[in-house]
This record gives sequence, C-alpha cells and structure tokens, in this order.
Amino acid sequence: MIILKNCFKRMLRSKLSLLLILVLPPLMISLLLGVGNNGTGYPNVGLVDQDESLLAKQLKEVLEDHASITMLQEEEINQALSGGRVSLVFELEKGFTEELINGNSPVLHSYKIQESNSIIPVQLAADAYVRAAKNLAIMAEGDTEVFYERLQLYQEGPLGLEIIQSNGVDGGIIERAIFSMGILGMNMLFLSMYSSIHLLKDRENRTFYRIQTSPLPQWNYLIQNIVGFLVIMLIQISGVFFILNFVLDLYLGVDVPALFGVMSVFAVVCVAFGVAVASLSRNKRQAGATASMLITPMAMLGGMLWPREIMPELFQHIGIFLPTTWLMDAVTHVVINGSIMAAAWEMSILILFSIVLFLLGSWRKVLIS
Amino acid sequence: MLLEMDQLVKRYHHDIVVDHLSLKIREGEIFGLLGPNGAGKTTTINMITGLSKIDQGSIKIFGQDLGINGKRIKEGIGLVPQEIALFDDLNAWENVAFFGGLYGLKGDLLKERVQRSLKFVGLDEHQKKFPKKFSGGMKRRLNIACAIVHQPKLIIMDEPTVGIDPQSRNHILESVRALNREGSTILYTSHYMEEIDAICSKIAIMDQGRIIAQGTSDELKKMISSEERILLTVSDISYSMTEEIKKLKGVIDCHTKGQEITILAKKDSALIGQISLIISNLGAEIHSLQVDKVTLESVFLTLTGKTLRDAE
Repeated sequence: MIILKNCFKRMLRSKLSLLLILVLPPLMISLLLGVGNNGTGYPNVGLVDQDESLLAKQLKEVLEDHASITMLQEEEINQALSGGRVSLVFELEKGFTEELINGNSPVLHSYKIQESNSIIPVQLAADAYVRAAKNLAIMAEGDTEVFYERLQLYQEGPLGLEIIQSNGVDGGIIERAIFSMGILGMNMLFLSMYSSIHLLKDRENRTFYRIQTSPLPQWNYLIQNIVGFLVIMLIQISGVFFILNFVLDLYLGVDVPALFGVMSVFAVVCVAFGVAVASLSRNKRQAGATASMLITPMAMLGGMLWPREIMPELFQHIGIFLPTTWLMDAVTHVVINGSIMAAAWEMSILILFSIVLFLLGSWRKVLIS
Repeated sequence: MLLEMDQLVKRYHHDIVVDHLSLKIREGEIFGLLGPNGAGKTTTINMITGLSKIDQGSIKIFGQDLGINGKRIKEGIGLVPQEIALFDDLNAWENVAFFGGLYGLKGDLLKERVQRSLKFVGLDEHQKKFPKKFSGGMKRRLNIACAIVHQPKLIIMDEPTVGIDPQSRNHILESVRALNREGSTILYTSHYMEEIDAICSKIAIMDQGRIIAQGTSDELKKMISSEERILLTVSDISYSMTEEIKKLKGVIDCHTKGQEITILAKKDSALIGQISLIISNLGAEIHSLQVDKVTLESVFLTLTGKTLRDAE
C-alpha cells in the first residue's frame, strides 16, 4: 500500500491539484450555468399526427408537459418552422403504432431549422417515450390491448416521466443537470492528465526505475497508482455532487446514486486515459500537449459543452468514437429516466473504452521493457 | 560467494553489451568495477538488480539464482543509482521512509531505520527539507540514505560521487567504509581511480563488455610493474616521430595528444636516451619529460588503451 499512500500524499499536498479536484468543477458549473441560463423557456412544438392512434394522443400529452403543442398538417411543416411559429415538429406517420406493436422500429420524424437549448428536453422526452413504447410492444408480443394496458401502467409508474414532472422539474433544470455533468466530466479528463504527469514524473526523476529494483512487482506499482487516481477522482465526484446538490441546490435527477454510478464508470475511463497518455508520452511536456490536443475536442465533440445536435452531422458521427459522447448519453438517460439500467448500454461502451485504453497503456509498457 | 555471475551475456539488437562476463564477489568485500562509458558496467548492474533481462548466463546472489528467487534476492540489495532518484514533492524523511516501505518496513522500525539512515549520511538535521533545497552533495547523500534504509547485505553504488564537492565526496567515501565495517558487501563503480584505489579491496577492469583484469590494487599494479609510462611535451610532433619511437625495442605503445607524447614501454634506462635522440634528430625540442610510477590509471591505460577521462 506504500505506493497508494504516496500517491495520495503527493497529489493532495499540491494546492494546484486540490484546486483542480474540488474547487474548479463547481466553480465552472456555477459560472457557466449562470451564463447559460437564458433561452430555456417553454418552446412551441408542432405535431403532425397521421397515425391518429391512442399512442399518438398519449405522446401529445407527454410533450405538453415540456412544450406548447400545435397540431399541424404535413404540408404546413415548412411554413410553421420558417415562420417561427414552432421550433420543432414531430411527425407520426400513418401506421406508426401498428408497426410498433408488430415489433418493428418505426421512426418518429422530427424537423427543426435551428437548434436551441429549449427544445432538447422535448426531444429527449419524445425519444424516451417512444423507446419505452417499443420495449413494451416487444413484451406485448403483438397484442394491442396488452400493449396499451402496459403503456398506461408505464405512464403512471414510478419510473415514468410523470414522476419527474410531478416533482415540478422542467426541461431547463434537466438540461442544466446534464450540462453540469458535462463540465464535471471535462474536469475529470483534465484531472486524468494530472495522473499522467504524476506517472511521468516518476519516470523523469528516475524513482520509477529505483522502485523496479525493489521487491515490488511493476504491475503492483501500476495497480496501486490506478487505485489511487480512481479514489481521488471519486473524491472529486463526491465533492462536486455535494456542492451541486446542497450548496448550489441543483437538481441532479431522481436517482442521484445512479448518476454517481455513471460518473464513477467514467472515472475509470479517465484513469485509463491518463495511464495510456502517460505510456505513450515521452515526457511531461508531451503529455501536456497531448492533453490540450485531445481533451478539449473530446469535450466539444462529445457534447459536454453544448448539445451534440447543434454540430454538423460529420462531427456527430466522429463523436461516436469518443467516450465523452457515451458519457453524455448515459447521463441524459439517467437524468431523464431516473434509472441506471436506462444507461446500461452506454456504460458497457464506457467500460469497453477503459479496457482498450488500459491495454494501450500496458502495450507501451511492454515495448519499454 | 555473495555474488556470482557466470558467462553473462546481454545483447541490444546486434550489439553485445555484456560479453560472457564472469565475476565473483565475496561477502564483506568492497569490490570496485572500473571501466569507461559503454564498457557495460551499468548494464551489468541493471541485470543484477533485475532492471534488464539476462540473455545468457546466470547470476547467483546470496547463493540463490536471480531468475528463480528474484523477489527474495531484491530484498537484500540496495541500489544507489548513478542519477539522483528522489521525489521532489516529498521531504528527505518521507523519501527515505517511502523506499523503506517498499522493502516492507513499517511502524516504529521504519521510523528508527529512517532516522538512522539520515544520521548516517549526515542529513538528520535537514529531514524536513525538500530535495530541491539541497546541494548536489546533499542530494547524493540522500540518494544513499534511500538505498541503505532497509540495511541491505549487498549495496550497489553506481558512480555515487559524480559532480560533488570534495567535502561531500569524503563523507560518502567514509560512509562506504563504515557500511562495509557494519557488514555490507559493496559493489562500487567510479571513474575516479583514486577513489577505487583508496576504498576497494578488490577491483575488476571492464572494457567492451568483458572483464579484462581483476585482483587487488597491488595485484593489478604488479601486472604492469615491468612497464613504465613516459610523458613528453615536445615542440613539434610529427607522424614520423611517433613511428620512429614505436620502432624502438621495448616500446609497447605510443600516442600523441596536442603537444604531448605518451609512451608505454618496458622498463629500460637506455630507452629515454634513444627517444631524446629521435626527437632532436627531427629538429624538435623536449620541453618536459616525466616517467610515471605505476598507478591504477596506468594499469587501466595499459589494459584498455585509453584513459578513463578520455572515455568519458
């Protein structure tokens, strides 16, 4: 445990790291939320209902909790959007519900001219509702009656969207919770660079080689450091959650432990990222340059600083290959659905990212030896 | 034998860095390993400490095979690396305690050993200071304290006195003797012949990955006692001058550097006269002449054909 103790001692002794760990993330979040508070009003959303089913009616009810809904005909879409009557239009094609009940995956079309922060919760709510309906349809095995029964139960159930609304949570608050996690995630990535520098420092001051001459195996040295960095990152998450929840009084979704779980999985990715950068860099300067080259674009493309939807499609596709995108998706699902299971797929991808990054770190280590 | 290396080979790509090296060090010895840069000393040390893999041959330390009982063997070794290896963000006490902890020391025993090690190297009054506040000599001493805190049976010191003031050097040399008196066996490498001559009970000269001679300082000197080194400063050195000198009977080697001619030759009183004659016949003047007595430096020069400072 000597390496672990040493890791804590060295990292927590530095004022800079304490600033990076505990002060900077809540400070950034409160500053940016203060600036970004505008434009989260109640948006006007159009709905084209060619399906005319009970599901479409219920979807309208769900959307009404997030926006003012205007019923439109298909040919009115362009005019309504260009004239600024609505910011977003959803279109349910004829046979949408039938296809859904038959186990297919019909598409809920959405149209918009310009991205705005206010329509994101509406999109998220529609997306969550349709996804839930698809799952219920699969379970109903084509039985329309069973499907609607379960859909009703879902809407009334504790995990449904209703519970969020019954708490008086509006889209802007959800959006702010997601945004604050993005800022925290970006800070965690920067903290991971501190881990890289810590490992590289050991190499540069030759203590790493000296440790290798001791009876302690090299893998043990690495594991203890990884555990140390992980614990420090968990301290950061806990501290920031505490400040956001109790000091800034920011809503973090119905299931805060689930959100903590998602951020903890991302902490593993960050540590793996730090180890990989340390292994691939020759010195601290190179690691610093790598940090500035990678972290900011990762944060931007992953949707940590603004919604991914406002970026060109090409950038959105690139984002799929970044862990930050999957973190933001996981955070969104957990904040909206209030369950860690809603983000199971995204979390699996994050775990996969950490495995790849750890392997990358150890591959370079093999080359050195 | 405390340390036994048998037919040790280390290759880097196609280069043989350590070439079938065999060496034995007895318990209680201060063993000096001399050699120019690139001779393979550090690679040999790296193999002993487990930093480099052995390509061929074997190393036995404390009677155990390094390849089989590496972990246990490492517990009994302390390495003072050539470059200072300390944590800048830990103070002197914490640095020594960290390395003590790596060897399983804890609690009161660790505290006592750390205190003892710092006192041993004369840094007990500076234990709360950080290494960046230390002079080069103090850092070197702290480097030693970190290596001896677990009281190893074998201490390997790789150039521990490089770039320090005479006072710190004397302190370190005294420390080496004291550690040896307390029962530690020491493997000591240095570029400074006088250090090796002063403290080592046995010396091995290494060049191009091989041990080319070994024995006590006196034994090594006896190897070339029938030879002498003549140093001349001449006004005008020419190629034909050195060629003529080399042709003289009894001359083993002759090389020049600037205005200086260094001649290694069999002891012969008539030789100096013959050399003077050649120089004056070629129209040059002798400004100075010196006949060196046998030193470890001349032994090294005789065996490797280069001085240690040239090798640096």
